Amino acid sequence: MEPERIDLSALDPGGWECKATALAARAVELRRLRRTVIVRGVAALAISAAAALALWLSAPKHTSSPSPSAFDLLHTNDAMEVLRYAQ
Amino acid sequence: MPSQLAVVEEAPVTPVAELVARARAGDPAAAGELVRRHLRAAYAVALAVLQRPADAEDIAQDAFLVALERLDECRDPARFSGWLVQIVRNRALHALDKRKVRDATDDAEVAVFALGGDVVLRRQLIVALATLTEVQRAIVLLHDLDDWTHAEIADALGLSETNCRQHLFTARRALRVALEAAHGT
Repeated sequence: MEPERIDLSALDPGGWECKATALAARAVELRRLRRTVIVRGVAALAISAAAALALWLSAPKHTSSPSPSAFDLLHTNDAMEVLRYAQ
Repeated sequence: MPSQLAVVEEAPVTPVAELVARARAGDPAAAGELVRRHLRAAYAVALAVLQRPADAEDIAQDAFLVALERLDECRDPARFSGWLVQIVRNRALHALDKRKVRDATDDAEVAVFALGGDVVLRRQLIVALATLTEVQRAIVLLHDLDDWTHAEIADALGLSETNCRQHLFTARRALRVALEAAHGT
């Protein structure tokens, strides 16, 4: 037979209803705060990515034409090209 | 003519899985109901590990906040209790480790007095509980303090129901012996 239940109520601090309400409110507040932080973080990231893209697109393009190298001249029979390199 | 004192039908108890789903979707009322149903059990589990009521209350509340934040990680919402018990136990063990490092001197007396009320009886109960194993303490506290059934305790602690009954039997007998010895002195 199971021994009788022992009265452990002295260990029960009580007031669970109030504590639960306060804790739930705190949890909801924390959740909302976390969502706000995430939303703002994502927005900030999107804005900085867009700004970086805009800067990159608006930057002047380098249009450098490839200059002939001495090595290329070894493979050419074009006299004009050799002269152009010499100049 | 129907009586004015009509029988008031009790509102059906919402299943835990449904509360978890609603709390995940951001329903504050569902989160509140989850806390109301489980906070004392969280305290019981923390008390089984820490053996100090004031510390156990703090850890139970901290663990609950963590659980509500990580609600999406609860894979089986119907077993929310077991999942919560694991979180509370882990945090309580972590707090116990930190306390061991911090406390060169034992300030258990301070913790006992912190709650007020029947201090002598509380101290006797805590001393008696210290004679049990952690699992026995968790079982007897969940069963006798928060009215959990054997099936619920077994599910939450990963034990068989038979094992749970045996632990409760042993725990109650040991507690009774320790309390009688305390009364006798």
